[in-house]
Amino acid sequence: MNRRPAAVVAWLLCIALTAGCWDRTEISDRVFDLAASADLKENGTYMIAGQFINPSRMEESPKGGSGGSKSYFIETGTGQSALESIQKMRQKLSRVITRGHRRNYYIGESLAKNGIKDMLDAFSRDPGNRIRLDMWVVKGGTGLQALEVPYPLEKIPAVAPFKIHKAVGGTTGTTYLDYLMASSAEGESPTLPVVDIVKGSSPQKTIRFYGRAIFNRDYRLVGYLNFVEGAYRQWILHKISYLDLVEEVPGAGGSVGVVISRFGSKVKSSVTPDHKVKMRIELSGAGQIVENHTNLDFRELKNLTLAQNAVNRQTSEHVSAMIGKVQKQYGTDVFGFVQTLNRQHPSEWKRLKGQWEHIFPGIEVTVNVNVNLKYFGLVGPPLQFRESEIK
Amino acid sequence: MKLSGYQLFWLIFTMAFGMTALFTVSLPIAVAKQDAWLSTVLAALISLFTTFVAVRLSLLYPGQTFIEYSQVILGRWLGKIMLLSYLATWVSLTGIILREYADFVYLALFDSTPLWIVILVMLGASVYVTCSGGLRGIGRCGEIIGPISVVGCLLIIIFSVNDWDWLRLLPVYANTGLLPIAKGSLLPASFLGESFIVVMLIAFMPKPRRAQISALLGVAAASAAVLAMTLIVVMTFGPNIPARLIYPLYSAVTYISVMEFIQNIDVLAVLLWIVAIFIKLSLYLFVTSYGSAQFFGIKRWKNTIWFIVPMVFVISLLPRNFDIEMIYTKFWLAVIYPISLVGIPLLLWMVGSLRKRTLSH
Repeated sequence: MNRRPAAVVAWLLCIALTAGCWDRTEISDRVFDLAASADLKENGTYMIAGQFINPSRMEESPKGGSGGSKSYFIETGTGQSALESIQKMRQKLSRVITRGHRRNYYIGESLAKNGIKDMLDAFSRDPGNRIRLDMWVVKGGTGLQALEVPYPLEKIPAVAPFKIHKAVGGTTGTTYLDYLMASSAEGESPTLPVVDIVKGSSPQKTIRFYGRAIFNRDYRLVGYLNFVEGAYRQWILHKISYLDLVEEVPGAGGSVGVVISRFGSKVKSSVTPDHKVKMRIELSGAGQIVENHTNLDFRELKNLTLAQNAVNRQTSEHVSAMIGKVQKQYGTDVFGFVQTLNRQHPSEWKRLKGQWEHIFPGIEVTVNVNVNLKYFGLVGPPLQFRESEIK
Repeated sequence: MKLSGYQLFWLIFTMAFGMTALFTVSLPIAVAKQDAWLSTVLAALISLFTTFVAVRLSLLYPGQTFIEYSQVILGRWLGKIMLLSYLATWVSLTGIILREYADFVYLALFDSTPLWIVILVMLGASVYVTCSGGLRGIGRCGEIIGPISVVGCLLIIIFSVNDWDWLRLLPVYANTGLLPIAKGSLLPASFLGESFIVVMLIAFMPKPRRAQISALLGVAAASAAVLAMTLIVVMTFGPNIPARLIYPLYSAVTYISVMEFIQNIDVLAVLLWIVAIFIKLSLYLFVTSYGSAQFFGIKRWKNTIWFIVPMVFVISLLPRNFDIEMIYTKFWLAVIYPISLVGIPLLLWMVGSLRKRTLSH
């Protein structure tokens, strides 16, 4: 039996089927979206902008040459909804938007205040998007402004906030999911990290990691925590890897600067017999003194203990004040207290479930920071001091 | 056609793990929240029991397939009527599996390739292995593909370590209770319980006694893998989000990012599930065609493939959308699983053992 013709046909079919691909989009037909922004304009329409790589300019210096030869460009679209705005933006793009590499999404302050409920769904529904996404609120500005800031260190400015976030000791890529988890949970309130655009004494405008934005249960921005307050909150939630503190040491004529690493956090909840909820927060860490403006010689154990106690006491106060501020001003549980209560006292949680908004502001919180100062660097007392100044 | 105990283990593991992990994690989390892993444990116990029954039942009549001995146990006509429902289930199930596979591929990879091409390519591969190699070919595929899916499973576990938050598993039991946990165990139990297919396979084993340990180990290993995947999903996404995801494990894999370096590895996961579905599909294709050949008394069993494949192909194209497949899943859960995979085997086992005992006396 001669099977050769059949084999040839099968072979040709294989070639025809495997060599082509219906879904192939050539790389030259794609445009990579590295960051995008959403804003609400004064007339109530949405504006979506994207920062796209300009592949032919990638090799050149980011700011080199005359205007228009940057390694990226920004395109915008305006419409009644987010999708309509994207549609308008696509009308100006010669290529298909590919979002697999997008890591940052800026949300303008006005949109955040108005509520971001309608913004969130597409990021998880559309398989072309990544859930590993950082969403940012742009404090006092629009998302577009944040996209437009050229950042000197990075070729693509969109990479900057992501790297800043990492450099200051945050967790990157998780903010979108964290938002969803908090807002879908009973009683919790979500947060997002914040950037703002600053122009200080340095000549150029730049992007600054500001802190965290607090959202209420209606997806609306209600307030901000500044950088240090935000870091305290992350410390409580065990999501921080680097923090520096500067605290005054009373009676020692100055302050010490401490860098903390290896963070620990324990939150203990308790419910009194008359159903008052209490939280006890124990924050721990290993610290290193990097700056000493006091007259203390840290080779003496008592001096190190003095500084350590001062740092711990004052940081505890600051953390308490931050929690108090959130409780009084915003009434939003951004510390996962409700989850802590659920883990530790599930039956009480079940009873209090629906009324957490009323309970949270009245929770009695005690904070106890316990940083262990382990190292003080290469120097005992400051070198510039005279013998008589050193204690 | 011969099948070794080792091959049976891999076949059962591969077919039970892939689809269970991909399709059945969402529902337990929806009803049992962070206690979904308890549901999986319960599902494992249930499916171990049903597998045990299926194996024991087959060992009553060594060398005979389900098609043959159920006619002995129940008598010719009653047996035929019952078997007809099994054949119908297998054909429809093969079609639905094919469609579920194609839908997943559509979502994850290709959205402009026509669905029937995606289906046809997979169907072609299964038909090829079934036709040319029969059960032996499938068994050998299982030997190769099974370990690959274990490696894939381990990689998912290792890469996702960073995203684990053990606190998300707490509190255990307090928020849910026995009923939700039991309810959540049904769907994974029904998928793991598809190891019932051994009733058609043990007849091909030269040493049928080995079937019991192989099948039970296969189900246990698959359950352990599904348990790990359930834990990963809950530890990554918490108890609320995965309940609303269609493929929670797939989403968890897309979320993986190891040191900003190993990212977007979802294609790897897709590949793993495709090979798992390939094994399952081929097994069902073999069982259906061999079974119907025995049922209708056709000498050359491979001839029946050419009747079954068009049916399967048409069935796979029938559902208009995802929801209609969900209706089949509901029907599967409410009718097919309790009756065909639990009730009837149990009944047959009891009647069969009684018959054997009275015969020997």
